[in-house]
Amino acid sequence: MTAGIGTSASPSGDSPALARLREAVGWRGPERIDVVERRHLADYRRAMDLDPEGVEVPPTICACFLSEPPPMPAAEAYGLGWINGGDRFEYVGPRLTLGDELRSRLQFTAVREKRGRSGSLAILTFVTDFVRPDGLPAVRHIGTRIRR
Amino acid sequence: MNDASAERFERTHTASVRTLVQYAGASGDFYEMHYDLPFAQERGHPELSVHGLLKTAWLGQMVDDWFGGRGRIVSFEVSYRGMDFRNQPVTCGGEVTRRDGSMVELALWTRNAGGDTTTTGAAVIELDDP
Repeated sequence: MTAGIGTSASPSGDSPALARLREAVGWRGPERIDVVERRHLADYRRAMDLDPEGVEVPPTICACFLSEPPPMPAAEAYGLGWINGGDRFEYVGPRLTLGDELRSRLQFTAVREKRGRSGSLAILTFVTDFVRPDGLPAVRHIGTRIRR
Repeated sequence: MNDASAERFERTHTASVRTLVQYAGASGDFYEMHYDLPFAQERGHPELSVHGLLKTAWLGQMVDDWFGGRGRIVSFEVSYRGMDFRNQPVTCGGEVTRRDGSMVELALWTRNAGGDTTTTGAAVIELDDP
């Protein structure tokens, strides 16, 4: 069993830490308002090995507007730390450009546990919809995050 | 690259600790595993790991450069199969798996210096002028 996971099973057979995660499904983080700003864009492009002076917005810029690791209190009780399992971006509207403003709110939508020879891990799904000020959707991000 | 006609493409990036700190600053992901070596080692990792979303950013940019602004990404997803570590080359690759009118599907991957696949993924692109 991975350290940090409780040892007393609930009636469902879940560890207390897993039961707490299941109860947390539906949890939402605080609302965020982010703007694609020139300096921020330059920092992101620099980290990606791109010309920081460029103004084209990389397709993954919304990764900067996620709260990582997810600040969900229930997650801390399970395992020792976070691992990123995967990311999906769905692009709905026009491409993001410098100056665009996006509202978003992280939502915890699912959890499942996987047991293996090296212990247990919890696979968590988070969904974030990025919406423009006029309410039009721009990008949906679906993140798979693992507690182990 | 840059004309959406290439059927297979690759590029290589190497993240130094400076890169990882720059990415942490830009993305706001300050999880210590990416810049605090004792923290990473206490969790069983040999080295500082490259942010998964940095690898994704490299892949996304590679795809973006492939169609050169003559279309749009409909969806783009990755699954992390293994970790990549600082100062080790990460080869990002893509390959066309299907063309159907204006729609193109790509398979994506990253590989480490040992040739192991550390990320798999896929993208759907809608081209303006297929």
